[in-house]
Amino acid sequence: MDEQTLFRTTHDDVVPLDDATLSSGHERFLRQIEKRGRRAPSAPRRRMALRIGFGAVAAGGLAAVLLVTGIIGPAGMVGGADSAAAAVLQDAAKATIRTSDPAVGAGQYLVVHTTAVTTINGGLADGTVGDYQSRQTDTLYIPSSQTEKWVWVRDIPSVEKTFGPASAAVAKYWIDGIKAQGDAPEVVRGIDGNFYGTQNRYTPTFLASLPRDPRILLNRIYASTLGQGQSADGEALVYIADALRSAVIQADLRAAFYKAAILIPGVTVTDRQATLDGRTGIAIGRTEPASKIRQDIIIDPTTGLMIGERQVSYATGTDIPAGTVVEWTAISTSVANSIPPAGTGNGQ
Amino acid sequence: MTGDSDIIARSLADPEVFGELYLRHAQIVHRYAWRRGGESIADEVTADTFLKAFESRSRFDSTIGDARPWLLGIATRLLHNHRRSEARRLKAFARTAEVDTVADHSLRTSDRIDAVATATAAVRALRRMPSIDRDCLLLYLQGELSYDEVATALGIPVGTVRSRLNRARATLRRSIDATTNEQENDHGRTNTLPHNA
Repeated sequence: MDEQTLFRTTHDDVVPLDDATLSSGHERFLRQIEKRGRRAPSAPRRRMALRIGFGAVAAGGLAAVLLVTGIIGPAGMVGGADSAAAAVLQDAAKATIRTSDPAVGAGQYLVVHTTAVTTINGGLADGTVGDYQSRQTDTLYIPSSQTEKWVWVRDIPSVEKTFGPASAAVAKYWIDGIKAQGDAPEVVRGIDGNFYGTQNRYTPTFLASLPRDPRILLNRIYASTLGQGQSADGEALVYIADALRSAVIQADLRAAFYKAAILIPGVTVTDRQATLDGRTGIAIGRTEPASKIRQDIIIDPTTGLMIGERQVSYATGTDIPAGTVVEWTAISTSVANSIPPAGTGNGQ
Repeated sequence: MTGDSDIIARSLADPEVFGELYLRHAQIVHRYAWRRGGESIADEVTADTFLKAFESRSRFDSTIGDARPWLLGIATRLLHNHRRSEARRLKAFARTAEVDTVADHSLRTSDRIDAVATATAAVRALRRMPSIDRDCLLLYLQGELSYDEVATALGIPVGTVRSRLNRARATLRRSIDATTNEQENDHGRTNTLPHNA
């Protein structure tokens, strides 16, 4: 049996919506959009011209190689961060080179502490829908030896914030379901940071292969994120935030990432007193016009280390007020001599 | 017939027009949500998909005439909030294969064992593959989208869809072949077929 037959026909117990159910669903939908849709949004966007430009360049063999390796590309050609953000990032790059990365001796572990708040959209069987925020704390133990197993301790999540009665009801349904599964943290083990069958992106080999020249590094990022996200510049900043969040980026590459962010158009200082999980730093960020989401990276100006990253939504017409921080992640590191016991191979 | 992009464009000024899109595609979204997460969440995911789509309709790429990939992409992201339902659905999938084959008296015993083993192996492979690969595979197989449409649904290049689908199918095939070989050996026979047959 081929996989197509297996997944489409075997156990295909789907009962199609009958006319009455479709009609009542349609009516309910119209009532819901009547409440939400009073404000007309802006005109639809068209596909990014930049994608076409990249495609045309990539068609040539040598040009494609140069593009993928980052030797050529748009980095720095159409402006960059404003002067205040450029100064913050330049200072952060200098400070981070002076700051020593944690020294992890033989047999020791680098411990990455992560607290993440995420906005989730959920619903109940009666048609109630709502957005709420969850908080999750993780601790990742990375061994000094590549042959040792990594250990990932994932605490039980909690409800961080709700937005009105519908949101609170949906959040309660969600957290009750999780608590019913038990309250013990999940302890997962994996080689080379590979958990749940997912390959760790930030291997030492991959990180060593990234250019330290900021312009070439940014071109490499543009090439590897081609076609993703709402815009090439927005996705590039998200790429940098994701990489820094891994907490395994060494000082020289961290500095290169900061300098690469200087070359991204639209990056500004968004908050000089940004507090994340009790720590305060300077936020630089960029607002994506289409989604009205601002991506911030928060940096400790003294050490040049990233405190965390966050996304702020300025969209209107939803339960979440404009200006709400819809996602944030705070990271810190320490060194440990041992790891927690137990755990499974892949968390299943 | 009016295209989906026309409906979405008109709904910017007149929100109620978006209801036409619901009538046109609710069945497809519902079937996809049911196949992936089961009956218990199909209605909820369908309703939520259209609400999310409505809220983000200004971001719909008007050069794309068919809204199905966009809607199934939203449904896919919403299904991530229902991982437990999806896991239960997968377990049920393997169990049902067992019940179906036992009930089918026309099948030989070895065929029944193979059918159950195939379903179990497929479920095991699906649960272990990266979620992005699983999304590509299930949008293709259960959402019945083309490669280009899966790319639109997930906002990734079509080349990436090809490579992820190849990887996902290889994982699936390896898992099924490995299980089939075990079965063959259990029956005292050697499977002489190549693994990619």
